[in-house]
Amino acid sequence: MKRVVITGTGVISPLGNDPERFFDALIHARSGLRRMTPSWADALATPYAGIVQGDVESAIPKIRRNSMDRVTLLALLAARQAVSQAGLGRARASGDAGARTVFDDAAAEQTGLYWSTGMGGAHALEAAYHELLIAHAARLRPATIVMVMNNAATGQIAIDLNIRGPSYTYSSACSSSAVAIGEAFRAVRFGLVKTAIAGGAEALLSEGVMKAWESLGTLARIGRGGAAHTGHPAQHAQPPHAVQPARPAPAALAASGSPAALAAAAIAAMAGESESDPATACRPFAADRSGFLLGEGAAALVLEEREAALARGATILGEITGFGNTTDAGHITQPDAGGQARAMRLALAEAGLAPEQIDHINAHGTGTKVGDVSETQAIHAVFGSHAPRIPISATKALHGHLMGAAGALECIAALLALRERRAPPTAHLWHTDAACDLDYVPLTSRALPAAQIAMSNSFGFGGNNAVLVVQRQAD
Amino acid sequence: MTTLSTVQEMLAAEFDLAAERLQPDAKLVDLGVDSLATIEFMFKLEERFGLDLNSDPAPVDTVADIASEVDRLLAAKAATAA
Repeated sequence: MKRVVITGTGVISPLGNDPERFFDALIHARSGLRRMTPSWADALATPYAGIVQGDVESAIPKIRRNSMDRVTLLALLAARQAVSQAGLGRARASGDAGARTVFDDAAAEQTGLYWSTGMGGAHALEAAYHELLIAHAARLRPATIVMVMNNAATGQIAIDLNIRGPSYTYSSACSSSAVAIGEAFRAVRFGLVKTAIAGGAEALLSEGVMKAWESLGTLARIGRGGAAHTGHPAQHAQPPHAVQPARPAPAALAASGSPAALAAAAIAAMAGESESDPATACRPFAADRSGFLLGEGAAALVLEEREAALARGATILGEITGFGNTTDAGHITQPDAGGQARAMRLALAEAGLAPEQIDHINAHGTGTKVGDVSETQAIHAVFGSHAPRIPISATKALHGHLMGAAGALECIAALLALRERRAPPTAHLWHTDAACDLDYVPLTSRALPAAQIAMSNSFGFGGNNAVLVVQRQAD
Repeated sequence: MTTLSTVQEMLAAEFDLAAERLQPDAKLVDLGVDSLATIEFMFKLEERFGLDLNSDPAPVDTVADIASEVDRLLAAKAATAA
């Protein structure tokens, strides 16, 4: 079996459109959650989402863009970044598809594509239905199907980068792209392909999709949180005494006079204002959590056989060493700590690791009542006495839930946490919950001086649990 | 404004193509306008000129072919109306 290294990463996210900007925002707890501007968003209880900023269109010529949903645009840009960072392929600077590097034909046949999305071309589908059902159009755009189909991004990435080996499109809701990376890891590990492009994309910030999520009761809402950790959905209001402040009152802190106390008082005072800000509504592991906010974006990794990467002098960013995937077979939305724990154990087993060797976890951490408790219980079950010693980051508080792109984005966050030796904070965790009793790195980032190995958890509706183990490249 | 110049303008806008590339004998395939894009463009022509291109489609390979096809159908439509 081959060792599988990461040689390229690409990120198009609400926190920035490359891995460095993304991680810098995470470390500094800058939020990518913004007020949505379309007029229909006014009807949402929390009209906030993680929205990709900047120009994501001009890199793809209009003649090609015309037959692409936004999800495919985001996917293409992330995949191009990853392949470019890996130093694979050759430059193709002009032509009808814009500047990018593409694989030579010989390499192309040895390269596989493992892509994912939760909802595919949601914008194109909604636009088509609007035309047909509201505007009463007699016919729809001929490109509708190729924009909407779930493998649209997969096909367009392959065309764009000249990938001619196997290609797969995974869809398991929130765990989709973790599954894609896991399958790509196995394909390289078992020698099926030499190189794999893996990741996922999601662009579902449309009226119909957001209203559907809102109805499900999983979207965060200021004032809807509480300390309940059983039952579903999450609307149960809680009495104030159920919320335990994680911080002393600002006045009491400031009164002690020390610089640290003054700084803490300043943070606490800011928290007081921020707590009413809808952009902070997603509060993973907090007593006042009420769900997540949706986000859009894409994330991609290049995986390669370690020996091949070393032979061509590639910069090795890290290594994937284990993947665990299980199915709950219980409930279509309710998480199951048992299934999650099994996935973590399988990932550890494939990596040949003892639980004590995990230095950091990027949690699934969606901020739902039941989900965060389930994940906490699963981590306890797997890691035992080591569990409280693991710094756990739930980054969805800052970038939103990117669904089909979430697993890949958070795998990159875990990789960068190891590379930069710093765990991102779990933002907005002002109030601890007795049922979530691990170290979630609240509010501010933390140094990870000797961290070598991280785990990235992704658990999807449908009961799919996907866990990746990432190892730091030795200095 | 001739049909040809209207078609050229519409092609430039729809596909973001430079006007100098849209010579009458320019082949659609060379411009990157594939079969799917051609169908999409024909739908736009129907709306613009009030035509039904599906009724009797002729193969189009060049920019001039599109303009000729539109003129042919406009003439047929006028004849029917008369």
